[in-house]
Formats: sequence, structure tokens, C-alpha cells
Amino acid sequence: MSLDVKNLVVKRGDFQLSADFSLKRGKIGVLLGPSGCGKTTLLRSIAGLEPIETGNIILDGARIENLPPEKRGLGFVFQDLALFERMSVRKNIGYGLAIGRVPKSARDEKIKALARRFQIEHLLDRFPAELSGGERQRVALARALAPDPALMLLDEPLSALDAPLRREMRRFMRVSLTESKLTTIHVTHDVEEAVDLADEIVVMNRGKIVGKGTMSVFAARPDSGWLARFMNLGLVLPVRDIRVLGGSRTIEASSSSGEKFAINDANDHSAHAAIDARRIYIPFSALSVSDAARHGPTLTARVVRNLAISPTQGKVVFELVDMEQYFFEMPAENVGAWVLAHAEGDLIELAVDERYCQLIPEDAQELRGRE
Amino acid sequence: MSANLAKWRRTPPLILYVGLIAILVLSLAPLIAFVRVAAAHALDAGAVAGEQGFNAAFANLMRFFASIPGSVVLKSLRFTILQSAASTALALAIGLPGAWLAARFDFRGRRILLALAAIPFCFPPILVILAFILYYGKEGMLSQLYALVGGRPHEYQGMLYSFWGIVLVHAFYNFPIAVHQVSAHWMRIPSSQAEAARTLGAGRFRAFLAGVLPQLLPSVAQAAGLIFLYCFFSFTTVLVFGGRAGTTLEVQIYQALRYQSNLPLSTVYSAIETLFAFAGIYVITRKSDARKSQMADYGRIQRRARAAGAEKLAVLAYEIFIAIFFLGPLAAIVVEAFRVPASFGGATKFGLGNFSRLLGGFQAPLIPALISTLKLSGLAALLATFFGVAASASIYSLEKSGRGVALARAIETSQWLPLAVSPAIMAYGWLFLSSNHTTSYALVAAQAAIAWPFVSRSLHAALRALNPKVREAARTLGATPLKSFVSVELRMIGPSIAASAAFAFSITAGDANVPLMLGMNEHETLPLLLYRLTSAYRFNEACAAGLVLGLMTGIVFLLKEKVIDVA
Repeated sequence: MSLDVKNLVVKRGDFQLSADFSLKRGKIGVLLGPSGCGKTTLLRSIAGLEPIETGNIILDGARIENLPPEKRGLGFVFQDLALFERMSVRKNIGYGLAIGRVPKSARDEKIKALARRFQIEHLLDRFPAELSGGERQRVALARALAPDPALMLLDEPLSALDAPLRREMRRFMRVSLTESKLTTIHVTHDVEEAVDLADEIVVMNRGKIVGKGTMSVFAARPDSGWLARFMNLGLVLPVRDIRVLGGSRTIEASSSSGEKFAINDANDHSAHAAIDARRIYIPFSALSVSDAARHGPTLTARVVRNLAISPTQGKVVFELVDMEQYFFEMPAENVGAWVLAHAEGDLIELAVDERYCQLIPEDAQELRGRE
Repeated sequence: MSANLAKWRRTPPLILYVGLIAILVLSLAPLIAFVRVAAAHALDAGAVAGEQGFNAAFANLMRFFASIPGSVVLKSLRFTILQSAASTALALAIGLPGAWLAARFDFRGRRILLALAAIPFCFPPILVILAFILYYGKEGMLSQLYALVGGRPHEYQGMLYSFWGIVLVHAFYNFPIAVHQVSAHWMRIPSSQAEAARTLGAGRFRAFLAGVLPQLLPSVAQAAGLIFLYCFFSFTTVLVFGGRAGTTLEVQIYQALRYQSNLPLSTVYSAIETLFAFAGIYVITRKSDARKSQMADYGRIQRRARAAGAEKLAVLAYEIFIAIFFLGPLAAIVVEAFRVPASFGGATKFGLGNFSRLLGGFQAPLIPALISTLKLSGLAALLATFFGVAASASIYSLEKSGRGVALARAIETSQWLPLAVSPAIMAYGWLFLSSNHTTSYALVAAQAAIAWPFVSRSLHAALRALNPKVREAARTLGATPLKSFVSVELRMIGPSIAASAAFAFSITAGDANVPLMLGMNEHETLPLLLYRLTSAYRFNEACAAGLVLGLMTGIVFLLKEKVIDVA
């Protein structure tokens, strides 16, 4: 089923959340943002667990914002999983079916089918306290899926797992949810998890949606400096001065360290912002280790951690010499064969391909506010 | 691991064992002293001329047991269990809705509702009884209110001097325990399980059954166990209101001691009482462990919602109910304290006359009683705090070292003695132990013995709640186990010690049972003054004295809460 969230406003004391987005049938949407940005509140509002001020939540054409949670027909997996500790796994999975008065034989059949699918058949008579982290995840997911929800909502269900298990569960969830063609919203603050799971990413900050799309869309044109930094798409440098080069369609932007970048005016997405609110965005794909033959601006960086294991594997952490404590990571393949020859503390010159540079506002919301 | 640490883990200092054994002996000494004297009485009482030796002693003992009126014992036991069960049920019925409101909503009066937990500890039973007579009695304020709304005062017969009167007073005393204990637990229960049930199709009630109730039950059972025990050992309330309705085992003990001087019979009553008490304590400790292990997983306190709509109405209804039926009696104390009875030909007026009479009239008993209370209870509280700190620190150290755990468990069990053994028996035990039967010393010792387990339990919980990494950090920085305990852990639980000392003072200052049992006459404490004024039908002056006592213990209790808040 498709989901439309229209002009939704939720207020909690001084905090206000506003959201407007859609998700197509069978797609997995990920709400991504830092802690406290309102993504869980948005998810809970969709589920009817938080009261809303205004707005509509439309599930397959039907408005559900005035229905109590039990009437919305949604599946919800909580961050702490919220398994019923005094019920066996079987009863946990069958809870929603029992509430829906599904006959016992059909209920047992469904529980068994789900348990088989989630490889937890042998755990059906155990209690949640006797399960491992991964097993608990599977039970929570099976329980939420059992009543055939119209929409699945996942509130950072993987956050308590260690890294390898988290990766494994991510793959498992992606496969399960895609197989069941269930429209899903997954909440996370982990960019890697978002990229791994999502058909579409909705980025939130300070109670507002600041970006919608896929990783490639964001990398090609991030709406704001904040978004580019949060998603580690490239370098974001403050602007000291901007001038249009005489008669051409090129803008010259000077970074705070004095380096000048000639940027095509079609790449200026921050024309309405004040100078101190504008940023030079340099995607990592525009950076390479400098060679003498190339012209154009360069940035001096110090190797902080060299985690490359081959010229194409691993990553290198740099610090920009001209900017205090500006750290960034680059995939080893962007650095090339050079990477193996350098140790921590070495200085290198990074050449910038100006064709890919853009001018963006630091905060797209503030810019929109001024507009 | 340093050599010192390894040594500590192997053998805790000898002084620790000596200290713990001393505490164990001290807590058991009065009981042993009493049983020794009672056994001697039992053997002497049935002695027949000419009989000697073991066979004679055995025959005497058999004659004593044969003389125990079985029907009276059974009747008292039945009444004790029935009134305790009914009181517990009523206290829970009133307390649980309050616990729900206090745990889940923010509203005006929430802090006051939680502060009512001070009532059982700040108000001696005699004051509460007086309050109930003044409010619920045939001539009480409720009767007058009944007349105001059109009823005829004589139609209001009251219900105080009956089974249900006892139950009502007990519920008044104990419902705040349910509110306080259950809400403290409820506040931490994550809402996610109930919410999960909602998203799976359950309505509010079914979601509560699946997601909240199973987690709440240990704390409800623990509160119920505690309330049951308090009611099981209730003395003054049953003595005053019981009358024809029946008597509890505790009252039987008092009567056997005071009016029949039958120590063996009181021992039998007490043994039955203790047997039941241990069953209750077993439930409490089991449920307490379950609650603690659950709460360790809960994390932070859940966000409370501002009460609105139907919830606001529920809050209002609950507050009105509590105000009319439970704060009313306390208000009656305040009103009566300032109501000066009509003298010959004069009219009743409001003023400070009752206080003036207590401060400046014949004997002017208020100030001496206040000083006696401060002196004796202060001493008892200090003693209780000292023993409580020593016991909790020793138990904690033994637990950490992994040695002497059996001794630590024995001390932990002995902390339950005040809840498991009749206070009358303990008071008489102290009397037998004190030189020349000096009651002041016996009073201080008996009250300290009642209060130290509260101190010890609360400090032990505070020590257990400390982050063990703090101690380990001190050790890695070079502190010896003793140094780390004194410089880090003891300092961190400093506020808890102050709060426990204040709590001990509140308990001992409000206690009238022990001085009454001891038949104290050399020093008159505030509860004793209250009792004397009530017996002389000087109710208004009794209320004035009660107000002073209530204010004193209430302020100390609130200071304790403040200390905990700040900490």
C-alpha cells in the first residue's frame, strides 16, 4: 500500500516536527537523521502512538490519522523490540492473530509458516529472555508481520546489535521485506544502514525533512552543507568571497583558506543565501592526488589514519591543513596507488576538479525561510 | 591484580566478622532474653510439689500447652488474617489508581500524593485514631457535614468501632505505600510493550494486560506483602476500634503481657505471628528481587504526559476522593487543634488556647515532651544509623569479597526481625536486658532495634546501586579497599545516610507502641502525651500536641525527601 504524509505537524513542548512525504507501494523508505531530529516521533505519529496537531496520514487513499493505533493495521518493530517477556515466542507471534480472532488452526499454521521463514521454529516454546539478540530481532519482525499489516514501521530495531550481526540482520530484513512486497518505513541514524536498506531516503534534521532521494541523487546535488557533511558526500568549505568572472558564466568562490574555485553558475544553488551562509561543496569524486601536470586548485591534507589494504580497498582519513580539525574519509580507490606508500602524518596535495564543485547553502531550511 | 586486592578477596578483615556477629547478637538478644524468661515462667507456673528434674520440666511444659485456649488462638488468628487481607485489598484498591496517575501523568497535587507516603511513618497510630474519631465519629466532622446537606446527624451511625473501621484506618495508613512503591516501578516500565500490543490490534485494556500488568505484578505483590504485614502486626488501631469485632494476635500478646503477666502465652501468640510474618517476608523478598532484576533492564524513567481530557477528570475525581475521605481526618486534627472548647457559658472559639494550655498551664507538658522526644528519638536514630551503616557496609563488603556470604545473609534476614517479631516481645526483651529495668535505655535500644534495619536496607540498596567502576577506578588509582570505601563509596552514599537517619528519627519519634508496652513513666514523649490527653478526653489539646508531633516528623521526612532529590 502507498503512504502519503501531508503537512503533518507534531508539537512536543518547544519541539515542533513538520513532515510531508510519500512512499510508493512495496518500497522501503528510510528516515535518516541525527539523534533528536524527530524521526522516531514521526514514525510513532504515523502509528498513532503520538498525537498530531494537524495534517493527514493517508494509507492507500484512506485517511488514518484519526484512528486509534489498533485500527490502523500497521506493523511496528520497536527499538527495544518490546517482546512480551512473559509470553512464549509462539504466543508473541500469535498475539496479533489472537486479537484479530483468527481461528486457532489458521493461527497455528501462520505462526509455523512465519517461524519457518524466519528460521525460529525451534524457538517457538522458549521465552524472550532465553533468546539471543538476533533471535529476538527475528521474533519481533515475525510478530509484526503476522497480522499482515498494510505498512511496516521499524524504529531503529538494529541499534542494539553488534556490527556483524547488524549487517546480517540488515540483509535478512531487506530480503524479507522485499519478498513480502510490504511498504516499509525504517528509522535509523546510520547512513550505511540507510543506504543498504532503502529504496528512498528521507533525511531529517531539527524536526524537518531536509532531503529526499537516493544516495546518488544526494551525492550529485546535496541540498545543504549540513546534509553533505552528515552523509559524508564530500568536502564542505566555508566561503570567504564570491565574484562573477567578467562576462563569463563562471563564479569564483574563495574558500576561507584563500583557495579560489571557478564554479559554473549552473552549479550555484545558493544564490539567495548570504555569503557567510554559502558553502563550496566538493564531492569526493572530484578529488584526486595531485600530479604536476594538472591545473586548478589544490588542498593540502594530512594523513590521519591510513586504513587502506590495497589501492582499491579500505579508506584513508585526512585532516585539512588549513582548517582546524576538519577530518574527512576518502575511499582508497579515490586516492589510488599512492595510498600504500604513505603513512600517518604525511602531507599530500589533493587536486580538485572544479567542474564538479557546487555552491550550496549551509542550511537549506534557513534559505527556504528567507525565500 | 594487586597483592592487597587478592588478599582482600581471600580473607575479609576479622573485624568485619566480629562486627557482624555483634550486630546479629544485638538484634537477637532481646528475643533470646524474652524467650529465656518466658520459658522459666512456663516451667515454674505448672510446677507441682514433689516433681523434679527433666521429666518434671517436660510435664510442666505439657500442662502449659494444654492450658492454652485453642479457640481463642484460632479466633484471633482468623481475625488477624481477615482484617489484614481486607485492609490490604482496600489499600490496594485505593492506592493503585493513584499509582497509575502518579506514574503516567503530570498534574497539580502529584507531589503531595506521593508525599502522603510519609503518613505511616510520621503520624503515630494514636494520632490517626484521634483524627478518625474526630472526622468519622458520630459527633465528627463528617456527621456535621451530613447534617449540613440535609441529613439528620443521629442517622449517621458511623462505622469506626467495627471490623470495617479497622480496615478503613489501615487502608488510610497504607494506601500511600501502594501509591509510592507501585508508581516508582510503573514510572520505569517502558511503554513500548503496551504500544506494541496496540499496533497489533489490542485496545487500551488488552494492551495494559499484555504489556504492563505482567511487569507490574512483582511491585504490586511486594506492596501487598508489606501492607499485609503492617496490618498483621497492627496494635493500637485494633485495641481502640476492635472491641466486639475481635482482637488480633498482637493485641492478645499485649493483653497477656500487661494484664495477665503470662509471658509463655504471649510467646506462643508471637511464634504464630512470626510464622505468618516469615511467609509474608518470603513473598516480599522474592518479589523485590524480581522487581529489581526487571528494573535493571528498564533504564530511564518514562516521560509523563500532561493529564488532559478524561485523564484530567480522573485525576480530579481521585484528588477529591482522597481529600474527602483521607485528608479530611488530618484536616480535622488541624481544626480541632485550634478550636478552643466552650468554657462555662462561653462559646467555642478558634485560637491558640490549646497550645497555650500545653505550654503554660498546669505542668506545661508540651516543651518537656518535645525535649524528651528529641532526646530519646534522636539518640535512638543515631544508634540506628550507626548500626545500619555498619551492617550495610559489612554485608556489602562481604558480598564483594565473596566470603562470609552465609553470615551476610543471616544479617540480612535479621533485618526483617522488626517486621517478623512482635514489638511488644522485643520491648519486653530490652526491658529484661536493661540494668534495673531502666525504661529509658530500654526505649532507646528497642526503638533503635526497630529502626536500624530500615537504615541498613536502604543503605545496602544505595551501595548496590553504585557504579562498581567508580570503586574500581579508585583502586586503579592506588586506593586500598578501605580507603576507596571511605573516600569514594561512603561519600557517594552520604545523602542516603542523612536521609536514612532522618527516616529513623521519624519512625522513632512517632512511635507510641514501645513506650506504651514498657509502661514508661519517667519521661513523657510526645506520643505518650498524646495518648494521655486522649485518655483524659482532652481531645483538642491532644490535637494540638499531635499537630506539633506531625509537623516535627513531617518536616524531618520532607527534608529527607529533599536530600534525596538534591542527591
